[in-house]
Amino acid sequence: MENINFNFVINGADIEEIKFLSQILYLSLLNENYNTSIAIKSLSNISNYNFSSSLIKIGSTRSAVCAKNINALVSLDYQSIVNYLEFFDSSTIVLVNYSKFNICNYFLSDNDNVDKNIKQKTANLLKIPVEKIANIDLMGKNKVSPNISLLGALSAKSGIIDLNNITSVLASMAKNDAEKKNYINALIAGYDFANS
Amino acid sequence: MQLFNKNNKNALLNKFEKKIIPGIEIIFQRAKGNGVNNLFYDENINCLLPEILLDLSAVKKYSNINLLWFSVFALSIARQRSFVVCNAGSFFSFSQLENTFLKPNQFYGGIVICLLNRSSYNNFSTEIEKKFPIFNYSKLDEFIDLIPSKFQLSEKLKLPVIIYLNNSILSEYKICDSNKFAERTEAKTILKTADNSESGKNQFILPANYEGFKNYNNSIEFMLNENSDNLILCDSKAFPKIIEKFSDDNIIYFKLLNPLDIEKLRNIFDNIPEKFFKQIIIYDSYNLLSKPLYSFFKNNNKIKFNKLTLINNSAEENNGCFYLENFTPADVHANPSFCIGCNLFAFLQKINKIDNKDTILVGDTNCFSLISSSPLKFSFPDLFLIKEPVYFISNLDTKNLNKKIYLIISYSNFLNNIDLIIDKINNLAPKETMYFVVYDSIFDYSNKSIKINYDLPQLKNIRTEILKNNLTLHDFKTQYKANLIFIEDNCIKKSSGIKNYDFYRYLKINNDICLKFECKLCFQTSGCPAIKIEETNNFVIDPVICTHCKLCIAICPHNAIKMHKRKKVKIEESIENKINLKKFKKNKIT
Repeated sequence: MENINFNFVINGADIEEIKFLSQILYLSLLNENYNTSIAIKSLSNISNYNFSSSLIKIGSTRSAVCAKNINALVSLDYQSIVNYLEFFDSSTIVLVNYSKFNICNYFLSDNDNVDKNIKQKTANLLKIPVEKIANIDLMGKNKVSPNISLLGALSAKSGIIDLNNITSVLASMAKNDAEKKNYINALIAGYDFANS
Repeated sequence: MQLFNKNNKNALLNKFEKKIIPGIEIIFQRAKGNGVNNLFYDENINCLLPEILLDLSAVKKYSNINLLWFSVFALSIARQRSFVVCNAGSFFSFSQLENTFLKPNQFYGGIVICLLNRSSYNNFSTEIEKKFPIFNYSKLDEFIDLIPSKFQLSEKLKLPVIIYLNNSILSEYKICDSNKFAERTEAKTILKTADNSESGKNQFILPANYEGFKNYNNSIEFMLNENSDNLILCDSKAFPKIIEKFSDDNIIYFKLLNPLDIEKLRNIFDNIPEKFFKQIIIYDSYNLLSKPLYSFFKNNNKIKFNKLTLINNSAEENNGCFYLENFTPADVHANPSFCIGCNLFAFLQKINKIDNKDTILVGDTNCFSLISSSPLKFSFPDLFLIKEPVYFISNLDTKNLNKKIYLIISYSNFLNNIDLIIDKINNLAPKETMYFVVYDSIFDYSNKSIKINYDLPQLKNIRTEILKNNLTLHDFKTQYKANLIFIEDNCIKKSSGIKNYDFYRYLKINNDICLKFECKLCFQTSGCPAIKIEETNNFVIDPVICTHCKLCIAICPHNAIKMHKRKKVKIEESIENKINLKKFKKNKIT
């Protein structure tokens, strides 16, 4: 385990969502005996929307904040990825929630340019229609944030987190059986989408 | 109906006057005629109909809906059917339904929920329609004949069936004019007095000139022998059979015989001149009109008759078909079906691998649905199906004493007779040992509906030793020549708590093949809780519950279910890591 250095970045407008996702990631990484560290911070204020990100670093615990290379980026918006373009490598995995209209679309409406810019840097771009996959309508009363399927895709692409490991973490976090079922279904849907 | 149609002025009138909803009474009566003992209704309905439900016994009102679901659930465990009528949707919520009925429990079905209010239906339509079977009806005639089938459906699916009655149903029975309304209520009071005079203990004594028949066919033959002037009143159900054999001179046809039709009857008989009938025959397949018609013919001066015959399709012979309160049909409930269990399947496969030639498998009816539907049945030459497999021993042939015998037992009375059984085995002295394969849930203390004698010392010992060793498939050798094998029948216990997840393997049903045949063997006979029906009628395996036992694969005759694997990705080493590795290697070499 000492030879692994891995930087995740979770990016988006919703702080609580990011906290939640990073919590799950952190717990499941701890389960696999990685040295992990987390830094969560808000980047800028655009009309009352806090853009925030969390950086999760595996390997050395010296500096969590200054990561030069991002190995995997999980983003709740599509167009705010542009902020991270400098840190991309040829092998960085980019997983994006591509299902709903974001605040970013309002300001930067040119999607094609963003596509070009990202594809110059990496080939591993996955736009995931999260809400379609996770089937929010089927969830019933115990609805669960569909962004969990992003984590499923992450485990499929990066391979650093075991699928069964995340599910056990999610199952322990769920309040009841119905919620647990929804969590796991969303996660598996993301995994299958990334693999297909 | 005053509750449901705001645009209707008459409805508004009724609402302020707080008067009767006759449609509900009919529905209740029909449900009761089909062997449903437990009828529940909303308290709001009670406010609106203070008088109408007085006649029906065993109708309970509820105010606390949590208590209602609990009691309904308990009743279903005791294999009793119950019928619930809800008006207000505010306290009829999806979460409560989900909590009680969608949890993996021993829920046996047999519940029909009838919804009356449109707004209540809209509140949860999106959530409930996907999980519970829901039916919409716009005519009472369509719906009321289907009540028994709905109960059967809910017992098959092990889910409550929800019926939404459209507004127009109850407006059929709306009484617009106040005069007619008064007539009807008068008729009702007459009925009551007639009952009180003739029957002291609320029991309807059959009149002397009365005969009852159980079936249509017998009755028709009987009628044909007596060629005379008959008047036949006929239900829509019996009509096609009767019209074939009788001339249609004296047949009066009703689309549906219900209490309100008596007004129509009066209109008809007003037009007929005075006449003497030898016989008046009433085909009333649901016993709805038995009382009022009798009182009607008794009070009517125009019509005279020698004999009054009421024919019912579903009553007992001894009680006659006249009255429905004593009516208890024999086949109201099928045998309680246990979860047949993947563990039993695994066990049978294990036996099949070891020795299948000199074995005899004996199962009771619950277990046998598994054996008969799986390909395993070809591998066992001797298969027997007996209601109580324990009595198989008493009728054993001497040839079979050399063979191994497995008795698969799912009912709990086995424990009461265990001493007798073991004595019998000792007397017979078979050469091979005999195996009793018993479900573990027999020992379920929490299930209070079944009373079992746990005082037997042998059983206590067995129980404690099994618990000590924590064994799932455990052979317990007694001092006798009989072995007990316990099988955990509850696979859901595993999935809820202790299960180790393995999502890299998964089972998938190919619905293109499956929906062509629609055999539903995996869904119905296996009783596996992981197999579910989606809203698009597709069959899906729930990955959370599935334990990869492959029972469904074995059962499916069309090879529609297959096992798949998910890819695993190895960790890509970063450039830094590679550099570190090279350094490390160089150091090692130098």
